[in-house]
Amino acid sequence: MKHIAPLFAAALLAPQDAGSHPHIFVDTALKVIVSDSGQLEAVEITWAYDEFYSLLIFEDRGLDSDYDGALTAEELAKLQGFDMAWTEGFEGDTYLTRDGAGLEMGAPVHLATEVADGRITTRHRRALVQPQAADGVVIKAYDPGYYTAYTMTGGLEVSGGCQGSITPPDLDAAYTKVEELLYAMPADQAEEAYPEVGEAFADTVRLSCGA
Amino acid sequence: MRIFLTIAALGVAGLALWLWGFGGAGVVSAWAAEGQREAQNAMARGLRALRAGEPGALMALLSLCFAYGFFHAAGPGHGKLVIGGYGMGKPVPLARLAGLALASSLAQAATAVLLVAGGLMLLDWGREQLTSAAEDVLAPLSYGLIALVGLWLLARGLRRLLGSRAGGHGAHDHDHHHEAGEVCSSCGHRHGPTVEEAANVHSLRDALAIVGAVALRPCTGAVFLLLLTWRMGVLWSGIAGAFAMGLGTATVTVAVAAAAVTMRKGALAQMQGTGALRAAAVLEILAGGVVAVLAGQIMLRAL
Repeated sequence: MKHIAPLFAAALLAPQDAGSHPHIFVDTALKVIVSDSGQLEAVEITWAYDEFYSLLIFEDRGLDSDYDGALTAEELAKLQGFDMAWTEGFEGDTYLTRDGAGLEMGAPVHLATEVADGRITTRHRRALVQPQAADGVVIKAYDPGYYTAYTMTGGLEVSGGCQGSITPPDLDAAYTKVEELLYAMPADQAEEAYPEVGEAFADTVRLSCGA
Repeated sequence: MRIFLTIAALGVAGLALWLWGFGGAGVVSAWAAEGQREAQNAMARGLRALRAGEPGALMALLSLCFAYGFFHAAGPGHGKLVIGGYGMGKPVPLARLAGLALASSLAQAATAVLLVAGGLMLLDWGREQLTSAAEDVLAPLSYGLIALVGLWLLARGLRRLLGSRAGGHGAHDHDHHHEAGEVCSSCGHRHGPTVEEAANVHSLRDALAIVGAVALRPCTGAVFLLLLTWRMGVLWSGIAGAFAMGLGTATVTVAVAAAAVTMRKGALAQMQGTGALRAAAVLEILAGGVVAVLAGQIMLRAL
C-alpha cells in the first residue's frame, strides 16, 4: 500500500513488529480475463478497504464531513483513482507466477472507486505484458511486509472456459514463520533482509483450463 | 500449598508448550488478528457516531478501544516479554508485578498522547515526522532498554549464583522465608538496610526501568486514533481511547505476569536452602538472557 495517502503512509509503512500486525485489511476479489483460446490476458482486481482505513483516507482528504459514511457526487469525484498513484518500487500487491517464475504485468488502469457504508472499494485492471496460456498460472494477493492483509473474500471469476481454485493459507505455518523471524532470526540476517512474511498469509489462486 | 503451586506451574508450562510447541500460538494469533480487524472496523463506526453526536457513542468507542488493545497485545509482541521475563527471574509478588504490567501499559498510552499532542501542538510536526519519531527512534530505543533490563537480571543472577557458592555456610537449615531484619544467607551478616528495605529499593528501581522500557514505544494503533480524532476535532475522546487501549493491553500483560509468577513459585516450591537459592539465581540468569537476546534482536530489526 505504498502508493496511498502519503500523509498517513509513513505511519502505515514503517517497518515494525516484523510485520506481525497488519494495520490495513482489504477484502479482495479477482476477475481473470482469459481469451477463448485459453490465453491469460489481464486481471481485474477489487480492493474493499476496512472502515478504519477508509475513515483515515476521508479525514486525510477532508471528505465525508457529515460522517454518515457516504460521499456526495462531488466528494466521490475527488476520490477517484486515489490508490492508483503507485510509487517507485510498489509492485501492486498482486503477483502472478508460473512454475515459480513471475509474470510481468503492465501499469494499473483505474476502473472504479466507490463508497458504501463508510467503506471504499476500488477496481483496477492490469494486463499481462505477454499474454500466455492460463493453465497452471498461480495468483496471489499480498503485501510482502504484511502491513496490509489481503483476503480473497470478494469472489473469483475466470472467463474463457478456465477455472480457478482458492487454497487458503496455512495460518499456523505463517504465524510460526512470524515468530521465528521475530525471535529466532540471527541478527546479521535480520539487518540485511527485512522479514517479508506477507506471502505466507496469502490465499493461493490456481488456474486450470480444459478437462 | 506446595502441591497446588506445582500443579499450577505444570498447567502454565503445559499451556506454554501448547502455545509454542503445537501450533497454539498460530491459533491464538489468527484469532487475535481477526479480533483486531473487527475492533478496527467497529472503531471507525464508533468515531463517526461520536462525531455525529449519537448518545452513548463515547462509551461504545472506549470499549472498542479496550478490545483493540486486548487483541493487539494477544498477538506476537513486545511488552509481554519484559513482564514475563522479570516475573520468571525475580521473586516479585504477583500484586506488584500485575501493578507494573498495568503501569507499563498506561504509560505506553501516555507516550502516544505526549508524542502526538506534543508533536502537533508544540512542534507543529506533520504526520510523517510524528510516526517516524515513533517507529524509527522510540521503538529501537525501547527495545534497547528492554535488552538492558535483561542484561541486568542476568548479571545479578550470576553474582548471586557465585555468592551462593562462596558463602553457603550454615545455609542448609535456612528455609528461604525471610522476615524483616532477618539475616539473609547469601549476604552472611547484617549491615545497612534490611533485606526487605533493600528489596524495596531494588524493586522501585526495577519498576522504573521496566515501565520506562515498555512505555517508550508507543502503539501505532493509538497514534492512528489520536491523529484521526485530532483531525475530527474530538482529540479528547482519542486521548481517552488511547488509555482504554492501554487498559486492554494490560489485561494480557497482567495475565502473563500471573503465569510467570506461578511458574516460578511452582518450580522453586520443591527446593529448599542453598538449592533453592541457586535455582533462583539460575532462573534469573535464564530469564535475563532470554529477555536480553529477544529484545536485542527485535531492536536490531527495528533500527
